[in-house]
Amino acid sequence: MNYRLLGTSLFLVTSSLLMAQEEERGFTLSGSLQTDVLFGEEDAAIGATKSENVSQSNTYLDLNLLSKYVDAGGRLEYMRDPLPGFVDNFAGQGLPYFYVTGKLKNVELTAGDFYEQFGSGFVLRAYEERSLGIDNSIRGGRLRLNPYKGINIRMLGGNQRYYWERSDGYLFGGDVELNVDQWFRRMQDNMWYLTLGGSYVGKYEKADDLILNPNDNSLKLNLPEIVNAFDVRANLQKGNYSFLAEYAQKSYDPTADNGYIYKKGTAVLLSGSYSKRGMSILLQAKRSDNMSFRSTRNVPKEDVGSTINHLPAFAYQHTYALAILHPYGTQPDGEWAYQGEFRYNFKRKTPLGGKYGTDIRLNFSHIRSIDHQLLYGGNVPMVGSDGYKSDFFKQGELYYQDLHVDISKKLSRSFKGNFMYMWQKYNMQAIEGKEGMIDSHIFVAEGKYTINKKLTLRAELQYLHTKQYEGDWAFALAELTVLPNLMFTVSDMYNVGETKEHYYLGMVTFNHKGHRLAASYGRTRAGYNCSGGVCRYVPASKGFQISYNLIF
Amino acid sequence: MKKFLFFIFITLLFSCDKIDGDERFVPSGVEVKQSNRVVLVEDYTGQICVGCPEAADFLHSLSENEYKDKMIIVSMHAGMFAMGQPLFSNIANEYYNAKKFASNPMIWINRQEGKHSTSSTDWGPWILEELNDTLYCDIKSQFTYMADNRTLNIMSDIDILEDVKDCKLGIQYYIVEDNIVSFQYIPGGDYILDYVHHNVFRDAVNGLWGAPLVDVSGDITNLNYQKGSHYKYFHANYKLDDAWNADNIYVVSFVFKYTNDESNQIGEVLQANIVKLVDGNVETVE
Repeated sequence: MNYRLLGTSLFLVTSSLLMAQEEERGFTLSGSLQTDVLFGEEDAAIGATKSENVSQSNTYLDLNLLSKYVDAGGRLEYMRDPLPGFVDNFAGQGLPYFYVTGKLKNVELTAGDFYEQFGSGFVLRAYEERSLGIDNSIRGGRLRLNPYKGINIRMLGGNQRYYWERSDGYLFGGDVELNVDQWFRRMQDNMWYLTLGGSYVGKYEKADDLILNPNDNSLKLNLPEIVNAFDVRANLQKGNYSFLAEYAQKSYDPTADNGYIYKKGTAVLLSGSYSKRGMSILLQAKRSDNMSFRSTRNVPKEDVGSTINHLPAFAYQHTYALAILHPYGTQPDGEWAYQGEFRYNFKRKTPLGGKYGTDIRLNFSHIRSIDHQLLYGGNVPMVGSDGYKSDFFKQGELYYQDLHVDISKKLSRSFKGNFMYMWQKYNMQAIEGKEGMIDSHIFVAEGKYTINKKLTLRAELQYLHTKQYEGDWAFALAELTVLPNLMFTVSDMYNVGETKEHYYLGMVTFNHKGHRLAASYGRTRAGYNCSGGVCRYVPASKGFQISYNLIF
Repeated sequence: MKKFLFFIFITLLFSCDKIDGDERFVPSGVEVKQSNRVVLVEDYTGQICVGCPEAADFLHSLSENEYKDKMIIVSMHAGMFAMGQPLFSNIANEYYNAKKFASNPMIWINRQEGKHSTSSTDWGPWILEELNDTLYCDIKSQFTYMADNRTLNIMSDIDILEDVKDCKLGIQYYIVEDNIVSFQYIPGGDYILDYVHHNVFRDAVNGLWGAPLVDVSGDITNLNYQKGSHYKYFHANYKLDDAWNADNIYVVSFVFKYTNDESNQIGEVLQANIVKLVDGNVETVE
């Protein structure tokens, strides 16, 4: 740990706090500090190893200066020996993110690093997700303008971050969004809202990579230097109804992700929802085919760096420990995904609602592979070929399925319960390369009891039953909140089936205004940490961890 | 103005490099120089790794075609796709963990820094680079084998062909066993019960990190090896495990540069050699 750097950072933060909120001078200083430090221990029983250094840490310090016409900011990062599970490239320290933005009337111009998303992210999503080690910010320039009411235009160009280096390729593109309802009074009067959008993203990367023909090394691939991607979308809302249709296409893009084939990529999404007080329904379907889009063509498939776009997952994002034992990550090769959700509130003082009302949620996610007919035999597409044929509506093997019902009910003035049953199918063979389909039934019971004005006790009991892989699991958690500042948590996850190992954890959390300090000790199981369909493998670990967050 | 913008849009729309089927490959301009260099290719694999058979087939194809007799493939069963399976090797796993590998198949070319990858399009070019690199030394190995007690003595002659300065050289012997019939998972959730595994790593004869190459003076601090100098190395009384089929045993020997990293001491491989053990006889693989 570089204590000098940490001390400097703390000094900056302290100074900033003394200067903060100087609105009378016309600018505002805001920011955040996040640091997670692990003092690891070896634990051969669970495969946990210890770093050579005393501790491992990820630290981020964001500072933003905001004013009426100009914003500026940056982020310092320190991860010389990062937390377990982050790739070697992730280690480093410095100022990887800084920007200046000028704003005047309906125009905003940014120079430096920025994040941006077009539509659902099918052609562009530059974002930061710290738990996954993702930061694919673009360094260059971005122009946002609203030349007329209802018209939003964005244009950008630059080069993406790839850990502590830059991607080989350069991006350029734009997005136009038209809020049609703002031009027609009658539409607004009748509560029709229509948004049409179109995006273009181009990537330029020199074609000097030597990708030899595997069967004849005297030949190399003739790589395209420019790859184009387009996206069109329409969003219609009328009263309680909302519909979204989106289509994206990418030109030939032979990369390490797709085995260097010359095949266009496509993605289509349809979503419909109905929502009113006490009830909502959501239905969605998505098909993606060869839509992985990177700004460096040779980045290995398992690397999360240099991604230009993002293919959203259609699997529900659970928070219960056993429900996320086998989380699903979007398959870049392609998938058919469906999701449906129904929520209903049984009003209080009704037979099913009871005295305080009852909320019920029913959710179903179903994801399958697309049809893959290899054009030249074998088990993988041939380098330099068109790759494979794929009938649009034909579907392949099941990747993932989640059917769950969640009931939330306040049982008394001081006690609220939550109960969930989940039936999960997870194709470990297809997703992780390990054997089999894991078929699990998961039961969750959670209770929250308000003891008095200061004390609240929350407890969870979970059980996962499966005949595959490691067999059954059990989980228990107890959490005592002492208002206004403290929380004590103990939990244990136990593998009933195979290993008989306990993954215990004890944690104390302190909150005060913008400060949050947590200290914990325990074991963490090896597995995948997923967010928004992107996953990172996290090895087993054990030790004492301190986390500090400050927002100002 | 509208027409101009439309024109720009259309230009961009069609500005992608459309490459028809017969234009996908162009001459690479690379060729293998004439040299005696032999490249060590370590295939970090596993019996439940479904993508690994494809990688093994690809490497085998390279070794039978473009790079015939110029590469030695060793199957290192290590990592989570090998752990707990019959062909798993603790020593191979040490090497796997020392490099913090996290996936299979992971192919490592001549233990070169940065030349390890799961992508088949990397392997051929890297092997070619290594073959076209300077040949600093040559190694020839032979042994005597006593079948009654399954014991062998290994002897190697190393000739330095170009000056090597400011590093310590070492020599390592691997025992590999060919044609092991055992199960292997393949894509689609299937497995083959009688899959034939080739050149499976069994043991590092002279320790995890080999032994320093020393001259007759025995000076292990020497960091300079002169062109034209000659070294000998001898390892005696190595006993084959009773479970191994002696008829399918090979000895892979290679000269390498030691690194400064205690946890991963074997660095760049300068030259490799493979010799087949045949009952009572000595046979050098051509």
